[in-house]
Amino acid sequence: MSQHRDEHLDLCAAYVLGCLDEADRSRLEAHLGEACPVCEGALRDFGGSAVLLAASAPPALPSPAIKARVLAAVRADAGAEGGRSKDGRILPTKKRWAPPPQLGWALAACFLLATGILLTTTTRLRKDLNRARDQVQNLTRDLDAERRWAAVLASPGARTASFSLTPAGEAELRARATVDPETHRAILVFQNFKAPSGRDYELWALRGNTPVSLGLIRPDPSGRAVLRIEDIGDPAGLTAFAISLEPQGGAPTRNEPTGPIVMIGSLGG
Amino acid sequence: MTRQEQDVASIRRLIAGDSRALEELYDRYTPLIYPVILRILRSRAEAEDALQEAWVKVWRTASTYDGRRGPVAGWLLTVARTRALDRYRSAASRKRAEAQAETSLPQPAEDPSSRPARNEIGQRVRIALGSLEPQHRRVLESAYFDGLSQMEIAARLGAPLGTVKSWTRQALTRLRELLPHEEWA
Repeated sequence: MSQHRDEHLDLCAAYVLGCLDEADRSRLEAHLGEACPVCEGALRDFGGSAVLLAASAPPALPSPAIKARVLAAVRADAGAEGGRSKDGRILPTKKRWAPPPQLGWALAACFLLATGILLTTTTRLRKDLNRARDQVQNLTRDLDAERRWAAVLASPGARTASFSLTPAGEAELRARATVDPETHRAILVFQNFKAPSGRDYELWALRGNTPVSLGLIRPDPSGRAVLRIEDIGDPAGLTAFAISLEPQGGAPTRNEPTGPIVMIGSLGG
Repeated sequence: MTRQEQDVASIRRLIAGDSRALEELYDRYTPLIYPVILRILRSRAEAEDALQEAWVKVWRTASTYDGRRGPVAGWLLTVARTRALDRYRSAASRKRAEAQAETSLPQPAEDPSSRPARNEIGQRVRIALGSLEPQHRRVLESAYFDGLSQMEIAARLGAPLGTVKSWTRQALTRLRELLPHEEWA
């Protein structure tokens, strides 16, 4: 604690008149901060003298309107906090938080940024949603198709044909056909159909003795192929299927095999 | 209850947000504060603006009043003088004030609405000031009404700074000795 010294009283006198230099003011403030009772008494006495000094100014009064202006300013100052309370009190402005002016611009920038991000995200999500909706539609369509084809195999009226080899056919060839007379759909399954180089197997439908090409059999590398025929035509006239080994690309005409017949499948009832 | 105790109670109500306390302080001390501001600024328009700013400042900063640093009246005067001196020191304001000074100076005899007792106090204080040592009176007036620091007063009076510091204390002490029981009513 700084010891009270007589010079502190000089500083107290200048303090109440507001004429202390900055260094002396800091010195006195530091001393007063340690609660010196002598200086506090001096400040009361000198303060009273300073009030009397003020009274020496020639008397004058401001316009009566100034009081109204002061009170209006105070109320406006407190207005943002809700003005008067029920008992006539006004909440002082010092309790009010005033946002820094930069905050408005920062908030606006954040709002614009957030809006941009939101728009971009919305557009991307809409695209994703449309893509997902297309996928669902495709899957639903595929599922319906699979159900339809499964119905062919499960149809109680389905006719099947087990293929038999001809002398020209390779021993490992296997084929089976199922025809649904109700929907005219047919499913044919082929195994070990690896055609010699430069040749293709071709499927034929026989109506009586007349062959009609149903297209080439295109197996996967293992020699397996599944042929689905949406409309095989009038099932009543269909008597059998035949498979020929044709030059690459198939027979030149749709009604006459040119290569050897390797398998024949007669439709059962 | 002494005047200081009444004033402290008003400050507490002010801090609590009671605007009626501000009205009471305004009515009590504007007759003391306004003449000081007017003497500094020498323009009624400037003085009235400064007065308004001062009371709004009092409203906002009432919680900073520290009773250990002097009476409430002294604090109010400090707030008001600071506002007035800030205005005076701004070049534009000073120019306006000087231009209006001749026609705006207060008329010493004119204050019909104030209490006669206040006028009598003012008169007694002016007499007491007149009886001070000239250097003491000049120190008080230079500091209080012209807003000069002790260094500036020393330069103006051509006296050492230490001497000005002593004169300041002696002047206030002598003024109180001359008016031992005087108090602003």
